[in-house]
Order: sequence, then C-alpha cells, then structure tokens
Amino acid sequence: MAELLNYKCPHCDAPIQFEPGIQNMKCPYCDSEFDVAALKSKDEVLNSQPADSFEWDEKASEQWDETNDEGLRIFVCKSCGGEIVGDENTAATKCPYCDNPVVLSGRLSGVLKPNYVIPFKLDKNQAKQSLKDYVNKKKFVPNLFRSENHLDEIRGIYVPFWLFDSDVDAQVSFDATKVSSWSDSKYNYTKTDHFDVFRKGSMSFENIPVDGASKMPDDLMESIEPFDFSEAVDFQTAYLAGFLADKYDVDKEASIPRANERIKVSAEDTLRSTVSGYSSVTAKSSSVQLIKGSSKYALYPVWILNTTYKGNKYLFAMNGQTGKFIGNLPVSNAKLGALFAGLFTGISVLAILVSKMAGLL
Amino acid sequence: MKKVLSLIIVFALLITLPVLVFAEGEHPPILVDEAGLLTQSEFDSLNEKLNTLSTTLSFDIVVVTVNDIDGKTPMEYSDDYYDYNGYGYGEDHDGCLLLISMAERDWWITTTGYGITAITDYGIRYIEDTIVSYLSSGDYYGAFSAYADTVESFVKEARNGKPYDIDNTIDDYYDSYDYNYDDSPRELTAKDKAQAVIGSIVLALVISLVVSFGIKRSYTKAVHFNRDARNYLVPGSLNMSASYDNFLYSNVTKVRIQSESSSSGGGGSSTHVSSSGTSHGGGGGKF
Repeated sequence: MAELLNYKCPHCDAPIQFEPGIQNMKCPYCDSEFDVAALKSKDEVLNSQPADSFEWDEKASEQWDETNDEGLRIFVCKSCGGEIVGDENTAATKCPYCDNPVVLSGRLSGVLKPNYVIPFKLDKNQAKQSLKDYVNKKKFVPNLFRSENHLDEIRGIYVPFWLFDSDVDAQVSFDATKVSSWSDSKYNYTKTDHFDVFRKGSMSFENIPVDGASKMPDDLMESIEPFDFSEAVDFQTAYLAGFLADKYDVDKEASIPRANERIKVSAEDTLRSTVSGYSSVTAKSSSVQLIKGSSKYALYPVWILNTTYKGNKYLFAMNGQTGKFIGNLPVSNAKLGALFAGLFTGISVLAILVSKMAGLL
Repeated sequence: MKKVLSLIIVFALLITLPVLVFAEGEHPPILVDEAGLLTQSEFDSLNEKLNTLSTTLSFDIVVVTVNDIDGKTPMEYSDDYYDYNGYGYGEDHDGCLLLISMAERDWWITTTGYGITAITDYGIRYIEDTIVSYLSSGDYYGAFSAYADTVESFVKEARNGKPYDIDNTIDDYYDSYDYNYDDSPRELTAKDKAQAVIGSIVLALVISLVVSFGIKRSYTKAVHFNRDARNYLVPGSLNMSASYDNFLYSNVTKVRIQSESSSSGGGGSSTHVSSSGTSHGGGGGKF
C-alpha cells in the first residue's frame, strides 16, 4: 500500500528537498535547482511503477503493529535500508538514520490525494526567529523564560485541512430600539422606540479550513489562520520532500459541523452589519441554509515548535505561509504585580487629585 | 427617514407654537399695582425700569400688588398669577414675580424657568434681606426698585456661568446675617472626604485589576478558536433579498429630577409645581 518516495537529484543522485526560500526543489549537495512542475512527470512515473517489495514490507510491519497496538508503522528507507517508524497517518517524514526526506506516496494517492497544497514560504530559521521575536515582544514573560526556554523540537508539517465552500441563504429577525432622552424642569424623560427589523440575503464563503488531523490542536490551527488560498497549487508530492506531512484522520463528515458553526455566526454578523441607526440590536431568531456546499482537501504549511520551561511544555505554531505566530506564554507574577501596583498607585493619586480639583476634597 | 423628519418638524412646531403665539400677542403688564401703593410718577418710572430690564435680560421681572389673595396662599396666588397671565420669556417662561398682598402683609417671590436657576434659595433670602426693611417702613418704591436691581445682578451672574449661591455669595452678605453656613465654600465633613478617597481607590483598584487580568489572559490564552468565518466570506457576495424595519411601539419613562434641598446647607433652588403644572421656585414671608 504505502510507497516510499525519495526524490533524487538527477544530477548527483543525492536526496533533494523543497526549499521555501526559492520555492523550488534544490539539491543540498550539488546546489542544482529543479522546477517542481518538471518533477511532476517523474512523480507520475514513480507512482505507476509496481512496488512489490514494498507491499511485503508493509505487510510485515502491519503484523508487527497488530501485536503492539499503538498505531505504529515501520517502513524501510530506500536510501539506507534503515527502519523508519511512523504512525498510521504519516505521509511524509525523514529517515532517522540518513536524514533523507521520505514521502509515503500511498498515503497521498487515490481518495487520500489532496486537491491542493500551499507550499512552505518560510523556512526553519525564520520560524526560530519568529519564536524569539514573539517572546521578546511580550514584556510580561518571566526573564528566565527567555534564557532558559529550550527549543526541544521544530517541525515543518503539512497539516491536512478540509476546505469548505458554500453559498448561504440567511434570514435574521432583530429586536431593535432607539433611545432618546430629554428633560424639563421636573422630569428626565427617556423614550424607547421598539422596531421589528428583518434581513434576508445570500452570501458565499470560500475555503473555510477545518483541521483534519486529530493530533493537531484545533484551536492552535485556527489561531494561525488565515491562509491565503490564492497561493495554493495543485498537489504534488514533491512539495512534501523535506517536511513532515500527515494524511487526514478526521474525515469530511466529522469536520462539517465546525465549518457550519462558523458560517452561521458569520452569516448572522453580516446581516446584522446592515442594520444601523439603532441604540441596540438583538437577534431574535435566525435561520441559515446552505445552498450548495462543497469541499476540498488541502495540505497547509505549519511550523510547530515545542519548548520546555521549568518542566512545562509550551507549544507554538507558525503559519508557514504568512508567518503568523501564536502560542500560550507564561506570565511573570512579579512583573504583573509591579504593573498592578504602579497602575493602582498612579490612578489612585490621579483620581484623588481630580476630586480635589473638582472640590470634592 | 422622511417620516421621522416630518414627525420631528411637527413636534417642533407643536412645541414652539404657543411661544410664537405668545410672542405675537401682547405682553402682560410687568407692573400691576392693584393695591395702589405707588404714586403715578413712581409707577411710571418703575414700570419703565422693569420693562427695560425684562427686555434686555429676556427675563420677566414682574411686580404685583393686591389687596387680597382670595384665600389662596401667597405661593399659590403668585404662581397662578404668573402662569395664567402668561409671563415669562422663552419655552421655559423665564422670569420671576414679586407679590405684595396687603391683607395679611404677605410678600412672595416666585421664580420660573431660568429664574429657578438664577435665583436660588440663597438668592431669595438675599432679596428678603434687601427688601423687607423697605416694605416694613412703607417705602414700596424703594423695595421694588431694590428688588429689580438685585434680580438683574442675579440673572447676570448666572448668565456668566455660576448663579449666586451659598458657594458663590455676594460679598458681605453674611456679615449682617445669621445663617448656619459659611461665607466660603461649604466645609466638607470627614465623611465626604473619606468617600472621595475611597471612591478614588476603588476606581483605581477596578481599573488596575481589569488591565492586569486582561494582560494575563492575552498571554496564557493566546491560542483560541475563531468565532466566525469572516475571512472566508467572498467579498461582494452579499445579496440582500428582503429587508424591513417596522416600528412597533414606543414607551416613555420619566424620572423626577431631584431638587436640591436648601435647608441643610446644600445650594440651588427648591422647587414646587403649581396648579398649571409649571415648576416654580421661590420664597416669601411677612413684612
């Protein structure tokens, strides 16, 4: 089933990989560059070749897997013959012995073949720099975190995403009010006018991404949105060389509800934005219908960085296309306390001065 | 929108109509001497003075003398006299009226509209101090004249921004008068001061807590789900097929404006509502 794919330099036969900086394949040994599209034909030839020996490998590993029950798979590296351990979703990885990039093309063909891929634009060094910048920018991070925070692991991963397109018909009823007030010498009057407001319209959404990998935290993946789909290209396995990739293990049907939630909120928000001139607007009832929903399967580039600080693990993610960097950070209680004390003192003094000037003191 | 606009215009007309009609009609006499307390020359000179002042200030300064007030209290009589004769400038009927009733030797000053603002309770006492001695000695011309001058200075001071009041007194007033409060700004009690300090501290505490926790949250909860899909809405794809804004109903709530008390040392005017529904301030006594 799973075929291992090594991209070899046609020049010197060394393994080559995709370089985000030049957006092309490059041989690290002889510096030759190759157009990804030019490698496509080679890709197809490789895919069409019978792979008897690998069938045997796979079967052997699956037997082994059954006894271990951990979803692990073993593949044999085509370059050095070493054993590569992956899980059942691994689609691209590196051989731990010879560090050659390996693509398991069987995991990316047939129904599992992604429609699109957004190639990495930012490389590992940029991801490391972003982590540094991100932490330095945050002034309330403990000082020790900056010096003692160890980067355990940095991985460039093509994360499987389901992309949903949909035309939406939505209608929302609002309760709206306009408040006006005036006063005479005796009373303050407040007049509230109540309105029944109705909006109905259609709109389209394109490429709403839903994380298709169960091992990627969904909130982390949503935090590095948006990806610019206009830069997506037809999927070719060559882009995966040198990176990790997973196939989806959350199927389309299981991903739809999350897309629907976001569509519903946005449809309501959009209609609400057309209601103006009121003091308050409250949605009373709404109904959202998907006219025609369709989906695509794409791989999006994500840098994942793991760090350790005082025994706690911190996980960061960077959008491999836009560079958007996100991750939870620890807060220094001492720094926050100092801020609190400063603010508290400053505002107290200011407020007392103001009340003194206003004649209250 | 057009409907709203025309409604506003109709409303505006309704409000200004009585004023316009009144402005077109004859102004009621500013000096009414039913009790015959003034000589003709005194009457003419006072009448001219009151008319000039009222016109220049846009503030009616009315004097009315009667023999009897028909069993009403001086307050009711003067309020009704003012309201039903249509005294006062502008929408709020700005002005004041001094009533002299000879039957019980009553005097009363009623204030309306801007008069309530300009002539505070402090002001009424000041006028009392000025005119009662004249009245008691039978010098009505002197009393009315002094009343007119005093009201003029009160209105001018109020128009300058701050009405004469217990915290903005006319100099030397209290030297001759025995009142419970001071000449200078009111002495603040320890309680007032403590309230101001505690208020400031609570405010500072709330702001500091909100800011600190906001920062903490932005660090430890930086990773979060997206609420919506706005980034994926195709620009310009919104196509409205139906929309309406229907007016359902309207309700009005009214809250009585707290009139500031004058007895315990607070400033301002105490007000009451007359039979015509107009709000008045004022005060009076015997002479």
